[in-house]
Amino acid sequence: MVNLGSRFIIVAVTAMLTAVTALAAPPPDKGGGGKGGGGNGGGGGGSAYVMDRAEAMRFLYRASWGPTEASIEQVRTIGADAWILEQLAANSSTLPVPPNRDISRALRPAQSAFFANAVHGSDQLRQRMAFFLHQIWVVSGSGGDSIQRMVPYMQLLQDQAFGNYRDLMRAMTLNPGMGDFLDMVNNRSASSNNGRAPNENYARELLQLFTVGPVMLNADGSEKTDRSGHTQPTYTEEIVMDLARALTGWTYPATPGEAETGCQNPRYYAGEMKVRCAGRHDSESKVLMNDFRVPAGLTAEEELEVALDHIFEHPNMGPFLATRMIHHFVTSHPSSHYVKRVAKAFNDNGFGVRGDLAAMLIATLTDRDADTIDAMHGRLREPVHYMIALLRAFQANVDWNDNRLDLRAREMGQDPYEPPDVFSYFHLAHGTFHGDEMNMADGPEFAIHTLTSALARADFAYRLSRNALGTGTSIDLTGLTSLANAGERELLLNEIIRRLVPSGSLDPEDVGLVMEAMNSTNYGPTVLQYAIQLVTTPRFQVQP
Amino acid sequence: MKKMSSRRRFLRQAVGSSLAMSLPLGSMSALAQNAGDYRALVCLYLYGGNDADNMIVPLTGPAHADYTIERTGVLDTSQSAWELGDAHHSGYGQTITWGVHNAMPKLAGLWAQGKVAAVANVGTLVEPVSQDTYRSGSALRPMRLFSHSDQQAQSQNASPRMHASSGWGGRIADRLASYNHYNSSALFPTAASFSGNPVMVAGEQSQAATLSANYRLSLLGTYSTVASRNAAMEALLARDTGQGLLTRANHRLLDTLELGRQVEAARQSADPLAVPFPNTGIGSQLRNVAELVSLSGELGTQRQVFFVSLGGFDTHSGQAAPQARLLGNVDDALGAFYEQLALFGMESAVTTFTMSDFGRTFQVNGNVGTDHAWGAHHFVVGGAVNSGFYGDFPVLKRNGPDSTDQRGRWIPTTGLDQYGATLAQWLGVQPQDLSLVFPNLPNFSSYNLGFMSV
Repeated sequence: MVNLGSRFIIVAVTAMLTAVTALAAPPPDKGGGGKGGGGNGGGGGGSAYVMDRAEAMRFLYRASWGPTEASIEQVRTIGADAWILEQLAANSSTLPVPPNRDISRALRPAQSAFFANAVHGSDQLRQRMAFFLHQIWVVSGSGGDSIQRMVPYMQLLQDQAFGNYRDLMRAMTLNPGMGDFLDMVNNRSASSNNGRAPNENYARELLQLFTVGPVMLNADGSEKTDRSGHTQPTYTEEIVMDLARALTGWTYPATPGEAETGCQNPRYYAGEMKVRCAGRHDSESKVLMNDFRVPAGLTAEEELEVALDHIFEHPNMGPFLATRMIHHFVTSHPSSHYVKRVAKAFNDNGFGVRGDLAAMLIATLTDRDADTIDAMHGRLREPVHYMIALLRAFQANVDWNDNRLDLRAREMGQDPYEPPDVFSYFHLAHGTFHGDEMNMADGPEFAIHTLTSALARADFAYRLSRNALGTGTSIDLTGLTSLANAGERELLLNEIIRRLVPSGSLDPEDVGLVMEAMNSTNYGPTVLQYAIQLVTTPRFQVQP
Repeated sequence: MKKMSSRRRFLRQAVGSSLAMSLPLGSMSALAQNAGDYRALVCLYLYGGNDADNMIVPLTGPAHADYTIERTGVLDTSQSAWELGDAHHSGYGQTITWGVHNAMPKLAGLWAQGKVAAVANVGTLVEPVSQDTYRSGSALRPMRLFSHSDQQAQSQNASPRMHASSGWGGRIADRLASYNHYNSSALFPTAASFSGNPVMVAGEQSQAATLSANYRLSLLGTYSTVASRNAAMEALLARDTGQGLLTRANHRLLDTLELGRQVEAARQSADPLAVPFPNTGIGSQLRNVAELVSLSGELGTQRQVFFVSLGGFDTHSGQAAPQARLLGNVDDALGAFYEQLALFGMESAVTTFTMSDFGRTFQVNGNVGTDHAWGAHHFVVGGAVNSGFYGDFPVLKRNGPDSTDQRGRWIPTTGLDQYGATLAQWLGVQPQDLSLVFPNLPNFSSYNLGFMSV
């Protein structure tokens, strides 16, 4: 397995401590909290706490798969900054060992582990970051060999979650699952292949989706435009073709215990892709972005490093990644200053290091804009975030070996680790309009929020409230049911709201509507079901 | 920060008002009189970029000779193709016989009945482009050519030089609504997708039904008191929370529940579908379209735009088998769909057309696949189609007069706007309104390619 580049973590942690000092005084725009500070929810926030409950919950919705009573208590006690530091050091959750032979519905063990790790893992931030990075560096498990292909890839995402982006670029480029998915594996020079041009697939998506994006960006993530308002392409078709040539010559790693023969190894997914025959690499010169010239005569290994260094230094990288990170962790509609600050953390973590993901993540989660209360702040919870936050709030027990939460997620349009294509589960720029089109703005996650997936979300809450989420998932509802059976409807509703809503309260009219439905029946389990479904469905879709 | 504006219009009735919800059945008798006047477009989107050069293939002459130079021995579908017929090729100056991929026998059968048009080398264009004006940069190009996401968006929003949050299907729905003639008492939106939330069906005012195949539209739960839960749910969903994103999400579910009532009621009096549809994603989607066509009397719909899709056409490696399988899925589903429509007597009321991200490089790459390109050929199927070939096929040389570069990426000779405008006019969009649907259409000389009977 690849070394994690621990120097970057150390640097990040040092940067973090600097940030902690800087944060000792509350940022000016949070003073008094306005509506935002409004933490009157359970507990009242005694002076022993660093944070009030509402603030801790909002933070944990962003930085973890959802608050639990224990994590709320922890964050309130030690503060968000110390919590992040602990999380940066937490060990990775375990993924299954792929079986040797492919079986039908083969990804299921990995999907089961994904859900269980997200619900129960102590490495919450790492798990969230891995799922974010998966949506950038997309490999999909649909198709054959899926678990063999996906587990080493998922492991890399976890292991490198807080590392340096340049290391991740290399690891992903040489990951055999990625090689398989986007055809970099066994891609050959034209001269070794009857003049047939190399496959352009990986080269194009490396630029378009994983690193710089198709158009030039300003430091705040907005698109650069010329005098007539036109954007400027980051690269041309010729550059894509040249980059494809630069990345030729790689094949699968050797299968342990099998002798290597010829220029192409058979499918094998653990470890890094390798070069078997030098002639499969196109060693002519190439011209990449900004007229950067790759000289002739380099080996495949040398050229890979040169090309990745070149891409990594592109000024688009910081704003490109910062925009996506903020969208994923915090809000679909960040201010330009927020993007600029996070991009700056990518450019330099405070110690002269570019690409430090931990520094970027700290900048994202602790920015003064992260905890804004505003009509357009937040993001529609993507289906798995919605599911897992509810499962954690209701202390679900999810079996690591086998559960069927994948079925529920699929109904909502998100089959985890099996996105339909390299554009992930939804296009990451969907619905993030500015200016005149703001009235059309919603956010990337709305791209899969159809009429039927909206219904599936409501049905998920229904199933959860009946402990009917299928094999491998159970929820102990006895405490809440006994409140319902005892006729303690107000207590019951308050408890559900306390678990889910940071402020600890709903609008009185909302409460009246929910109570009216609860009062229509005397059957405890139905009272409970109405309470859970009527709070979660209309008031829990958006991450605050 | 600016507050979210109100919802796009979903149904034409006052959305969400209890009055509208209680009306549906009352307004039906008037609709029945209009039942004979129904037309629908079905956009069948081939996600990933279909290699159209292997879907419609030359069987004779210099076009076939050029085809074999690039494709024989690696990706040759001409040997097993179903013959369609002859078309004059302006680039070669002679008549060429064309065929369709072996996996599409039903389409070949419909062609023989005169129900299919093939439109050559269609693509996203801002204005007409020649190889000279492309290479010199003097012609305006679509932004971000060769990129899946951008070309998918542009083919659907018909705005290749800007971001746009509405699509041409949705804008057709907007225009039709403005005539106060079609769908004036409809209980179902004009535009509907059975494949996610594509920009194609998003209007500027109108909002589409976005459904999955084999959809259900009512909440789980069968308690005797469930009506009170449902009432509370809708009241909570309808309340303004002051949070833009939450309100938007809530309104979507409100739309679902509202639509569910209409469809449930309409289904009470529906005839079941007689034709077995293939058990594939595209088969299920087209079965759902066929059902909605059959419910048009009950739902009061007279003009509709449907969106269905299948993915997997991004064949960068080992293209032959997967493309054949996908085209076979399209063919099976299209065949069943047409047969069912014919049983309804609606085959001339519904026109199905293909779209895709882009075509693919005519030159095969080193992995026996093809890469992203631009112009591509498309089929239009239905009883109202004037069958035959339209547009100009490219000269099939990788570095020939129709290619952007040395890999055979066709510069489109027919704009997607022209293709769409021909379909939009058939559906009922007035000629003077076409540029509201296709902003760049005025840059082209012909607004109607003639493949639809008037």
